[in-house]
Parts: sequence; C-alpha cells; structure tokens
Amino acid sequence: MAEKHNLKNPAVKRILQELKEMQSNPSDDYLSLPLEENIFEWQFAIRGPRDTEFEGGIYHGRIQLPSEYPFKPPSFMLLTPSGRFETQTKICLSISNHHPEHWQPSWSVRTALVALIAFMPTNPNGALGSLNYKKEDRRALAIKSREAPPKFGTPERQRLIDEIHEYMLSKSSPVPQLAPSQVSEEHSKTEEAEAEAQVNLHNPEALPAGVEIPDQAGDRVVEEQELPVNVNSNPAGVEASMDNSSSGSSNQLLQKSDARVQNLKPETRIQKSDDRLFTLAAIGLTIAIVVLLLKKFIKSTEYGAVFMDES
Amino acid sequence: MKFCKTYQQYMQGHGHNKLPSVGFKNLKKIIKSCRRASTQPTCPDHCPVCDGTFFPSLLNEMSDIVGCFNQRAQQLLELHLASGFRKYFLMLKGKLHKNHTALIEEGKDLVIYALINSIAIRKILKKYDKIHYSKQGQLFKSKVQTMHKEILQSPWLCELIALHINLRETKSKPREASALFDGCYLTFTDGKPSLTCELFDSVKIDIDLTCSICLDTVFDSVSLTCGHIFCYTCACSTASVTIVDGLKAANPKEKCPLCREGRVYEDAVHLEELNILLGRSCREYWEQRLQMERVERVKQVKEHWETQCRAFMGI
Repeated sequence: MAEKHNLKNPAVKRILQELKEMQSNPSDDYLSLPLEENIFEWQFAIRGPRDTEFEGGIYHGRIQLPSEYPFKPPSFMLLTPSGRFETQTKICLSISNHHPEHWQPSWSVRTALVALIAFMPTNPNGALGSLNYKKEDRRALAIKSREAPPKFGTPERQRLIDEIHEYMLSKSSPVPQLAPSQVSEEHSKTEEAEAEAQVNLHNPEALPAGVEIPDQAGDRVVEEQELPVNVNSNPAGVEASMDNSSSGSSNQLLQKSDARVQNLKPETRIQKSDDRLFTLAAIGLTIAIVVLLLKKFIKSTEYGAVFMDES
Repeated sequence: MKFCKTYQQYMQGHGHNKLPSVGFKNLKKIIKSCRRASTQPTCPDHCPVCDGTFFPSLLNEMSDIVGCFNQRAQQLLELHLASGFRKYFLMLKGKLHKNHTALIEEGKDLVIYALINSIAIRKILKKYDKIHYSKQGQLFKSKVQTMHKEILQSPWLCELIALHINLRETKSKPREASALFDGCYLTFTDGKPSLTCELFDSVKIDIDLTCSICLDTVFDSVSLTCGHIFCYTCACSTASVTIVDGLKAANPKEKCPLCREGRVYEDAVHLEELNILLGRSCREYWEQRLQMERVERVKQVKEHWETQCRAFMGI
C-alpha cells in the first residue's frame, strides 16, 4: 500500500504509521482499515460494550480523515442501526470534527474507536446524530446487527465491509439472551443509571469497565520496585551497584537492538559540518594574523639592523 | 538500609559541590509536629503547620534542586557542544580544561542527583499521605508538575542521558571508562526508541522517543516546557506557526498535544545531544527524514519570503 502513496505528505505518513500499528496490535473489540483507493477513508466495525444493551452487536461505520490530519479531527458516520447513533449521519462527539477544539493530534483512529465504544452506553443529551431508543429495542438491534453487514458505497468498499464483518464474527462470543423478567426489570430502571455511565475523554477513570483509552501522556515513567537498597557508606558504592546492573543490560541491548542501529566507529568528537567550517576558518584567520605579525616583526628588525649599521 | 540514610550519605559524599538537597530530617520533624498539634487523626484541609511550613519549604527545596540541576546541566552541555569560535572563546576563558572522562563523571553525577532527588521527594510525600491519611501529597505533586518544578520533567535530564551515551560510545579507549556509571542506554522495542536510566537496580526512568504526532522516531527533537518531546516540525504544526517563525512565535493559548497545558511553546528546548545520538543510532532513517525535512523547510521558507515580498510591495 505504501508504494501508491505520497510519503512526503505528513498526513499520509502518519496514517500509514497508524495502519501499521493497528495491524501489529489488533483488538477483538474493533477493526478498522482504509480503502485501497483512498487512504483518508477508513471503514470500521466496533463491538458493542460488554454488560450493556449493545453487547454482542457489531456496528459498522466510516471515518473520514481530513487532509490536515492529525492536526484536524476526523468525522464519524455509523452505518449499522444501533439505537444510539443515527445511520449515515456525521455524529457529534468530543473526538469528532464537530468539536475541533477538543481534538488532540496525539489521538489516533484507535483512541477514537475506543472512545466511540465508551460513548455508546452514555446518555445522548440531545447531541447531533444521537438517538435515545429503549433498551430492549437496542438489544434487538444488537442481535440483528450480527446477521448481515450493511450495504453501503462502492463494490470495493462493500468487499471491505464484508471482510471486517466476517473477522468480527469470528472473534465474537455468542449473544447473551435475556429472560423476559430481566427485560421488564431493566425497562423499569430509571435514566439515572445511564447518567452514571457518562464518559469524559479527559477523565479515563469514568470509562465503563473493560474500556481503556491508551495513555500517551506518560512519557517518563519511574518504576520503583520494593527492593532493598544496599549501598556502602561511601557514595562510590552507589556508582558501583549501578555499573554492575547496567553492564548486563547494555549487553542485552547489543543483542536485541533493532536493525536500524548500526555499529558505530569511535570518534573523538561529535561535530556538525558547519562547526568544522567555523573551526577551519578560525584556524586560518589565526595563522594569517600570526604570519602578518611575523612579517611586520621581521621588517622592523631588518630596518633596525640597517639603521644600526649606517650609524 | 533506609532510603533516608542512603540519600544523606550520597549528598554528604557530594558535599564539595554544595548541591541543594531535600531536608529529610527537617521535613520529618514538621510532619511530626503537625501530628502533635492536631488532635484529629487526619490533618484538616487548612492546617497551619502543613500549609505554612511543610509544603512551602518542600517547594523551595524543589525549586533550588531543579534550578541548580538545570544550570549545571546547561553548563556541561555547553562545554560539550561548543564549537567554532565559541569553543575558542571558552578555551580562552579556561572553561574547556575538562577532559572526556571528567565530562562523563560530571554527567553521571548530575543524572544520579536528579534521580535520587526525585525519589526523595516521592518518599517524603508518600510519608506525608500515610501519616495524614490524605491525598494532599499527591495533589501537591501534580501542582508542582504544572509549575514545572518536577526534576523528571526537565528537558536537560534527557539531554544529559543522551550526552552520557554519546560520550561513552565515542570514547576511543573504552578501558578507561570501565569503572564509570553505565546505567543509561538507548533501547529499541519494536523499532521504537527510548532512553532508559537505572538507579539502585530498583528505580528505572524511561523516556519515550516516539513523537506522538507523526508516530515516528523524533527528528530534530524539541522538548516543550511541560516535558513532552516532539519533532520540531510537528511541534510547529501543532502550534500553528511556520518553521521560519519558530516556536517563539506561538500563541500562548496553544496547548501541548498530550497534556493540554498552555504556554509551553515559547521556552521550548532544542535537544541537540539527543539529535546527535539518534542521528548516529538510526543513520538510514535520519538521512531519509533529513531529505524530506529539507524539502518541506525550503518550501516553507519560499512561501514565507513570497508573503513578505507581497506585503512589502503592497500587493
């Protein structure tokens, strides 16, 4: 796929990186793939969140990535009726193009899909493209969603939708069937329970059980295991203990390092080419000044000698 | 041995450097006095001892530690990166007398100093929370992070670790450096690089070197004041500024793409040592990216000057 695309475009590069990452770490809860003819168009399917009325459902949709991606947010459209979102309508979420002020370039298609799954059981609060069906209707739609994938777009797109649907079915567990008594009990519950499940992207603790948004903010992690710290009375002991631990790890590094890491020749100094030019220029100037001074000195001594001889 | 003793021994061992440190004993006394003063088992929300003594004194100590660390790290990096006329100027000033081994030693000391102090601060705040059955310590820690007084947030720590690896790998006689600290290394997991630093076999710091915007290894890396690292071009794009104008021209309202903190662009630091390290470790990638960046930068410079000319001509 990479050969067809303009790799000089940062958006294309980023999308290909995401695709590579999605393929290397697949999830059972969602699958998303770009169309072959347009890498900015993605087709996805998400599994209904567990322990909700959407459980067992397979919901298809499309993602439209802007040309300025990841600096501008994508737009989402669901194609499978779910009772939570309208079909073939761009939906309003804090991660979609309806709220560009909330979008972060560090978010990706993966985080967007995880967030979308987390948003499903929440109260719509009259958001654009949202629906508020009864729980039993949503459950019926969840069961129906497994039967066949939605029909949408070109034959190429349809082929991709079918492939995604088959993959999701192969990974799914059987749909939980509820007894009529349970249905009536659930129907009698108030909307307060739904309000409790409100999801805030900036507060991952509020996510429903089993749903996690990948944390990308943790750049620097200090791991501290409860190990006894044996250090001699002199601080050199600290250094010695550190040396011992790291020599083994550096050997492992040499063995396990990526193919991109090459054996490097030892250099006495790391310098940029510009700096070398400056250095050479400085040396040249110094030599020139010294030569001029010497000339002056020689001339002055010659004249002095002549003057002395004449006298 | 308790960490408190370990810490004090380490700081006494480096007493000749007159480095600021965390006053463990003093802070413990304050916690105990607070415990005596309050009859309740937990510390109230507005405790005069904690609000007036413990947290302000700890904050002052943290400020001193971070300030000292940043200053010394900058000086050390300046010595190593100095070249051309700057190098000769430093030679004349007599600053460049340090040899290779001395630079490694000082770099190592500063990295240990940063890590040991970050552990010390964590320990004292944990103790505070344990004694008071509160989360005030954790709240204070997050408040300190927003104030950029957290030593692990410092971009100079990343630079020092990179400097350490650079000096270690460019040493022509490795036998001389065998006794030196070797706890810093560049690791690749699934092709993704990260800087790793270990202390006491139990504390490990990992700095991810993948730009979360382009999802690639950071190129021409820059650290924002919040401590997050990005490619320079990615940071410029996020801040809605051109490469020509630079991050200094960024709007103060622009936020970090990871932590959404404002005012992080104007004091961003270019990580020169890290660039040298990555340039040597991933040669092919670096060359490829360099060519692509050149094209992009030339394009942006052309556009910039065209707009400047139009503005000048009044078109």
